[in-house]
Order: sequence, then structure tokens, then C-alpha cells
Amino acid sequence: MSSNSESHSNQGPNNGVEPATSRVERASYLSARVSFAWLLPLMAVLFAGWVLWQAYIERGPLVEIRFDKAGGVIAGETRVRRNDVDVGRVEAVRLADDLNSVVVSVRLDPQVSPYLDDDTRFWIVNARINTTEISGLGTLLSGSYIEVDWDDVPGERQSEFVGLDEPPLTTRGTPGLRLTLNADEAGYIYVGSPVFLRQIEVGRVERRRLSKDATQVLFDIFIEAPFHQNVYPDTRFYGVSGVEGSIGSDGATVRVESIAALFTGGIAFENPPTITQSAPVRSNGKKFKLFDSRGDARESLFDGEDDQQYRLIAKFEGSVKGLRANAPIEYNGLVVGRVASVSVALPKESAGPSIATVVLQFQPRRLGLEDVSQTQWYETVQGLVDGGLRVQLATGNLLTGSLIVKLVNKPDEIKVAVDFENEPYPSLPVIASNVEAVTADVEALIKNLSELPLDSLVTAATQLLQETRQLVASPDIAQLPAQLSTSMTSIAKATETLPAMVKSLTTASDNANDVLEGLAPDSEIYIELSAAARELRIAAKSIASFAELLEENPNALLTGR
Amino acid sequence: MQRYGVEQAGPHIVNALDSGLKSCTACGVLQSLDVEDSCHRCGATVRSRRVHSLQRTWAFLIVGMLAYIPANIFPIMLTRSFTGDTSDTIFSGVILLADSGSYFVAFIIFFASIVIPVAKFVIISLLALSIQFKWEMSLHSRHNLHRITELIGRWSMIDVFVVAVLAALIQLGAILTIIPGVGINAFALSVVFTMLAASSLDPRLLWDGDKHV
Repeated sequence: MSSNSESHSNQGPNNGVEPATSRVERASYLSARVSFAWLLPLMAVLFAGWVLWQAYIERGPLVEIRFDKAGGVIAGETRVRRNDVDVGRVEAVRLADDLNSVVVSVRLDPQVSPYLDDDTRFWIVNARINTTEISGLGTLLSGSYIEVDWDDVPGERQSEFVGLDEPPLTTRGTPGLRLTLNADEAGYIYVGSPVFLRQIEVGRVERRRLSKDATQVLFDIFIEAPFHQNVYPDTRFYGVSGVEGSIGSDGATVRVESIAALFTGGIAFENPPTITQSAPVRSNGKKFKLFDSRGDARESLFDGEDDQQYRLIAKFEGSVKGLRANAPIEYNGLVVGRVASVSVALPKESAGPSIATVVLQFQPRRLGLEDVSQTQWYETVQGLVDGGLRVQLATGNLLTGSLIVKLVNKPDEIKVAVDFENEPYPSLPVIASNVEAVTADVEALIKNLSELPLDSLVTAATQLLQETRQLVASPDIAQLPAQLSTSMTSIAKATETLPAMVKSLTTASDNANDVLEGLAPDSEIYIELSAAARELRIAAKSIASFAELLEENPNALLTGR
Repeated sequence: MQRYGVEQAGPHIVNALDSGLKSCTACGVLQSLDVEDSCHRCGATVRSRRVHSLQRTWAFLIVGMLAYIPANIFPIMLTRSFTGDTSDTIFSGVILLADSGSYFVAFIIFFASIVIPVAKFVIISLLALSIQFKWEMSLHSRHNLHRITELIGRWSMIDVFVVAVLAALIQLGAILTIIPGVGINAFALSVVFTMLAASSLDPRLLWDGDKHV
């Protein structure tokens, strides 16, 4: 393959001819002896070598993913995609050593290898049709593919992964906020249910699970940026399961959060009208209470912090009729907590009174205490009790007879320590209240009012008026002036005895003063009575309007309007 | 009838070189070996034997054979439809056609894309080796082999044309689109270089064999 052999073959038959020989011999330099054509195979070999080398050094990482099932995954064909862009290809599919799962070997692009850390997630995309979504229909024709997701932070490289059974709802690195809501029941809220803010969909339920002790349902929700800036520590979350309706004096109202939520349920949240000075929630994983309905969330005065470390106990002797769980705890007229539970312990000796144990759930935030530890909380409580703080039962509503718990300051009381030894929560000192007497009185008052013989009174009054008219019309009246002068004379006589009468009246009024002092405007009886009077007035008013309504439209009893 | 008798093509045949002449391949004029390399009649370059003919043949043949490797490994055609992408190499295409019953087309493609190129590699190497090592071969069969390679070489391009026509015609967007693959480029290169190899082999070298038998 050298020029020599060729020139031989050229020269061979040419030996006798001088000019040709001399011509070949003159070709002394390389270009005449070697053809330039040899550059072509040289270049081809170099190019092929370069391509092979590139392919080798640009070969991406090989990872193994374990799936329960590998539906539709085909070796050599199934792609690995991220955001609909191919980033790899399945090289092999085999059963795992335990024969219970499938191991899929995937060759990924070298570009992605820095991100293959332990938060990388793989899942198989198939067509999915269920109540909350229809997705992946394209895979019906094109075959399934494997989707991969990772955050934008490079981490330590992993080569073995466990694939997800179901696609995650939000990909890593999506800006937003993850929160945990707790509720008593799951309701109509499922994984994938939407989260609304002012009826705009701003997030999704990612996970639904039971708490460890199975007493609560926990929802992990994700709120997308920029809506997550609207979540404050006092934001209220509530379930919107389909239709919310109410019938009131102003007619019936029906409220649907969204048509989608009608079928799937959802969660909505809103902030109280006055957002406190607190900053929006920034950290993931904060816990909130999930209220049953918008009404519950609005009426509730609590922040959803149901932290048992702020619980205390008050023990009352005697009846606590009317005190129920969720009754408010008031301090200086502000609600600072609620009654978590009421229970009764039978007396130890048969003669003794029974003791009602009331568990008080406090909200330290409403006392101006942010993020206190249990120790700090107990110290604060001890300080308040030292200052004369006592727990007292008070009437919340005279008509229904419900009770509330009041914290009152009685600096004159003897100093008592908080019983921190008490189980399960420390016990606060209580003082007795006259609630029972007041309640009984008011009940009697109402009973009497209801027993008033209104009908006969009206009849009697009518008769009285008729008789008066007859009287006025009678001729006897004409003689009245004459009789009057006679009367005047006798009155003049009578006035002579007045001074003595005035004296005895003064004495009587003095006595009355003494009685009235007990009813001074700041006395408890007065306050309670005026409150009762107010309630009565309101009740009377509504009865009147109701009667009016009935008169105009008797159907209202049935239709509600 | 001497022209056709291989036996008669013996040492007694006198060629131009023996007579100190060279002929112009363009116009056929004979001129002396020691005049300059351009034809005094038509101006074409005139050589007694093409310069580096065998070297060039070998070089082109090697490139053609090298290019034939990726032509078979890589897909020549990508079919993109809503059911996904499929890619076909030369051989998988032949199998696909045969499976779908188009035996005739499958045979044509198989013949043009596999049999002919391989046959050409074998024939050209054989001719070049026989010249290189002065094998004793029938001069006429060498001549016929050379003619055959030049004749059938172009038919290898049928596969390239098939892909080119399909890619140009079938552009239905998302429904069905055909895209030429890398393999078809390599295959075209292979065919072109094999043709170059065949044409750069100076047939006069084939006849020179009788001078040293």
C-alpha cells in the first residue's frame, strides 16, 4: 500500500523506456510519492475516534430505580423526562432479587448528574382518570414514560432510588409553602383537593393521613407562591365541602366555593379583618386547625393553636350545670381560651360534695404571650395567681343558662399556690360564685312573666274603659262641680295632718335607701339584671316582628320568609 | 476476435507504454511519453498511468468501508407520529418491510443497501490486491469485475433516495413525520467513496498484468 509498490507496478512494464523512468525518478519529494487521498481515511479514523471518545466521556450516569410495578416500561424505549424533555432512557428492566419489585436501570444525561441526590424522585407516568384529575392521556398512544423531579440544589450523588407509586402533586423547587392542617374528620377532602383563597385556587392537598394516635386527620397542603404570603399565624383554614347553605330571617343563602369543590371538596382560608402585626408565615410545616365551615372559622376566637401544654384545670364544687366544652374563658372581658372538657368526680366520702373538673385550654397569644414555653407559661400563671387571680363561674346567657369561666382578680384573697402536682394538668384556685342564685331568680322571673294572664287583663281593661264612658255620660257628672267644692273643703282639712305624714314618709325613704344601696350600678346583681332586661327587650322585639310577619304572611311558618 | 479471447491477451500485445506513447483519455489522441502532461489536441491532462491510482483506490475504499459501519449502526430514518418515535436502521427496515409482506421492496432494499455495497468492497479490494501483489488472474474477468462495480455502484444510492423522498413527502406534522437519520448520511458517504474508489482504479493497470506473467 505504499507508493513504492505502485511505482513498481508502473515501472515494471516500463523498464526499457527512459523518459518514463526519469519522470518517476524525478518525483523525489513526498507529495509525488504519496497520494493526498490518504488524508481522507486518516480524517475518517480520527473523526470516528473523536465521536467514540465524546460518546464515552459524555456517557451519563446509570441509576437503578425500584418500582413496585413497571407498567409500560420497555427497555431501550421508555424515556425519562423532566418537564416534558427527555433526560434519559431506560436501559434494562428486571425483577429485583426478592422477586417482589422491579428494578429499572436508567441512563441519564450527563448534564443532570449533579442533581441526582437523595431528594430525587422518579415515578411512572401512565394515563390517570379519577375524580380530581385526568392526566397522561398522551401515554395511551405513546406509551408510558418515567418522570423525574429534583430540586435545584446539587447534592451527594446517589445511584439507587425508590420510585413513587403516584405522581407527586407539586414538583420540588416550586416556590410556595407547605403547611399541616389538623381536623377531627377527613370530610370530603382528598389528596389533590384544591385550596382556595377568596375562591381563587392557590394550592392543593398533597397528603391526607391520620395522626400517630389516630385522634386527628392531618392534611399536608401546598400553597403556591405568591399566595403563600397571605398565610399569617392567625389565618383560619376551613373545609369547603360542596354546598354551604343557611336559612335565616333574611332568607336562604347557598354558597358554593367552586364547582370543582362541589365534587371533590376543598379547603379555603381567610385572614381575620384585622391582621395583627405579625409577619406572614415563612417556614414550612406550621400547623393550623382546620375548621368545619366558614362560619365556624369566623366565629371561633381561636387561632387553631390547640397546644396541650397550655392546659390548666379548675375544680368546682357543686353543680356546673350549663358549662359545656368550648365555653369561653374570659379575662377582663376578653376571651383568652376555652373549656376543653368538663368531668365530674364522685365525692370520696359519701357526704362530701362532688367535684367538677374543668380542663381549661388557654391561648397564651391572646394574653400577649408569643411562643412561650411550658415553664414560662407556668411561671406567668403563678405570677397572676399570686396577684389574686381566681377562677370563677359566671353566667354567659341568662336565657339558656349557659355558663362561662371567668378569671377575676381578688387581691384580698389569701395567697394560694397553683397546684402544679395535679394530674394531668396544674390546678388553678377557684372562688365560689353566686351564679346559681341569680340563675334561679331569673328563671323564676321569666316563669312569672310567662304566667301573666294577659288575656283577662285586656278584657278587664276593655270593660273598664266602657264603664268609664258610661260614667262620664251619666247625668251624675253634671253635679260633680258642686261636689268638688265640698271635697276641696275636706281636703283642706286633711292637709292639716300632712306634716306628720311627711315625717313618717322620710323615715320610710331612709329605709328604702338602705335597700337600694345593695342594688348599686356596680353591684353584680344590677349588671346581671340589666343584661337580663336587655335580653328580654331583644326577645320581645323579635317576637313582635315575628308576630307581624305571621300576620302578614302566615305561610312564613313553612317557607321561612 | 483477439479482443475477446483471454488466452490471446498474451505478451505479444503491444500497448501504448511499450511504444513510448501515452493516450489521452478524453479525446483518445496518442502522444509521446516525454512531452508535457497536457494533451496537445484537447488540453486534458494526459498520463500513461493515472498517478497514485492504487493509493487513491485504497484510500477511498477504506473511507467507504469505515462509513459503512455507522451507516448500519445508526438509524437511517426516524418516524415520528402521535404514537411516539420509531427509528429504523437499514437492516431493521428490511425486516420491517419483509414482516409487513412487502417482500419485493424488502428484497430491493436489501440488495441495494447490503448486497451491492458489500460486493463492491470485496470486488474492489480483490482488484486492488491483485494489482498490488501481481496475482495471476484472468485479465478479462478482472476487466469484467471492474465494469460491474462501476455499473452497479450507483444503484446503492436507491436507499438514500428512498429516505430523501419519504422525508420530503411525509411531513404531516404531529400525525406522521419522517426525518432522515444519521445513518443515511454515513451510507451516502460510503456509496460515494466506494464509487470514487472504483473510478480512481485505472483500468489500464488491470491490463498491465499480462506484462509480467
